[in-house]
Amino acid sequence: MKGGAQALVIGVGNEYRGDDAAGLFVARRVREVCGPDIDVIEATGEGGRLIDAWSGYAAVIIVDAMRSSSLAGTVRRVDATTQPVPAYFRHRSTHAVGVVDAVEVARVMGRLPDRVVLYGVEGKAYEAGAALSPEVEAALPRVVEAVISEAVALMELMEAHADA
Amino acid sequence: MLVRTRNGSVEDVQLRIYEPPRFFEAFLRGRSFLEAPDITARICGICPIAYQMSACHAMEDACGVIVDGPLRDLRRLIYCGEWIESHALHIYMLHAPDFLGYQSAVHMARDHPEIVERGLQLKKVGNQIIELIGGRSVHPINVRVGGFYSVPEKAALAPLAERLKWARDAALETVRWTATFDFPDFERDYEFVSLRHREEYPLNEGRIVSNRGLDIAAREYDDTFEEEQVEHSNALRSRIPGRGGYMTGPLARYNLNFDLLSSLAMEAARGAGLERECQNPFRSIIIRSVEVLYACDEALSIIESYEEPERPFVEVTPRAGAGFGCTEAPRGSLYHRYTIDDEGTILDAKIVPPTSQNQLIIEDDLREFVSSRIDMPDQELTWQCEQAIRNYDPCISCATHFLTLRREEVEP
Repeated sequence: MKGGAQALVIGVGNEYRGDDAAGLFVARRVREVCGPDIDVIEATGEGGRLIDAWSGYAAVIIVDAMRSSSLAGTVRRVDATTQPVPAYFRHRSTHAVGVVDAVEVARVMGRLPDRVVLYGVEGKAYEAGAALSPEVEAALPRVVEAVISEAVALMELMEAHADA
Repeated sequence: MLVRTRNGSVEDVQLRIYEPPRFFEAFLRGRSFLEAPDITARICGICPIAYQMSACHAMEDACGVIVDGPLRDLRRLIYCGEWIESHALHIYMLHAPDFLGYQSAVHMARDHPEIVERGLQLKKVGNQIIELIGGRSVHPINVRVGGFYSVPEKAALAPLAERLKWARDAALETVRWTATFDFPDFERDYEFVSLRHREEYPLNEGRIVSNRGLDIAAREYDDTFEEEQVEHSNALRSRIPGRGGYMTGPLARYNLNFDLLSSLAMEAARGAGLERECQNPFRSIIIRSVEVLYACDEALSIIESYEEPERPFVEVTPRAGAGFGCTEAPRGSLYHRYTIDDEGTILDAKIVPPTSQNQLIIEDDLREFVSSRIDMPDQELTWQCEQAIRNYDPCISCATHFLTLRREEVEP
């Protein structure tokens, strides 16, 4: 199911780069728990593909690792529907346009869903081949729960709007 | 980036690059030869096909298998998809804003949403090719040693052809658009290195050649090039012993294979004011556009002549030995070497990505570029250097502003 009252959850990350994989782990867990009720994809965070991915959805929830100089495992929720994505989501080292630019380019071009929410998990270890740090691992269940609640609430809200 | 000066003139420029393949080389040891394409595809989210192709060719070389006919064509087709996608991203979202004086694609999109939209749509056509042949566009899963897990029916390619016709027009517009940019007057006498195939513009196959007489097979790579560890970067730097740095990527491919472009691409290049040879790395943005046009053309011609193969892959039986593969990733030659045993277990792996091959000349370019701009304020110099580095589309030009400039004055 796509579009209409549907919300999309995007987990962003690289599973070979330690805490960078946080978003992917959250996405997989949300998929396990919710099955087909919520659309979930995993992404490398390359901006062009993100814009394509959320095209047609009314709401998108993006989960990514962040570097905001907080304690590892800190979770932040940012509603990017009307405010710019904070720079601490800009940390990934690939030759690509990332999450921050994708949201802002899409905003300028009218390609952003009606609701855009980001969850950031503060990481501390990004070395190639590293496992998730214990702090990030401990934070993930909270993020999963928050993402599911938010996705369900967004869909209910959109359904209510559609019915009205 | 560190700029070291003495008495006001540039003494050294060092670029610190993060490079992931080193970790993967260790990770591959002890895995099955069949796993190499999928594992190495995860090195890069932008060019997974290049990693898969170099890995497949190297493993097939080790096992004495040649993949040809429609399977070979499908490999070229999926590689065209990656060139379109990767080049469109780089041209529209990263490099063009530099030329047009915008801080980022976001700023450019405010003034020129229709241009950014064209770039996104063009990139999407590349994605669609990869999705159709590769199973999905992020870390495609359908590529395997010997061919594919499944192959498309001819009819399934028809909608793609329609999209590609649009993309070909958009690519032509892209060539014309980038040709109008202002280019710094900057030329150097480079050694260009790329694959060259007798019949086709190089993607998967060919000999490794240069404009200074190099002409070798992939299995002679290690005898020809050397990699050096430098203190300031965790990337290895490649060089040709006795000659120094060399350039790989679109400019090198174009200069060494101009005669093999499609007539449409050749005509567009001429129309954009490009000569048969180009020594100005800033013009690589036009050449990337010409390569997008070529990739659209080539993809269309493959689709037109495609007949579904009887089997999606050739059986590959492992045998002990070494295999070598070199293919043309969007940003340059990507070399893989593996040693496997009789059971197909990987004993040793070596991967040389284009960025480490280009690192030496990127630093040389910067040294010359910075020398004539040393009095510029930091912010402006950083911006101009980013543009110069982006000529090579390296694996560091991540977010819009990736460069941290550090100046160091050495005591005279």
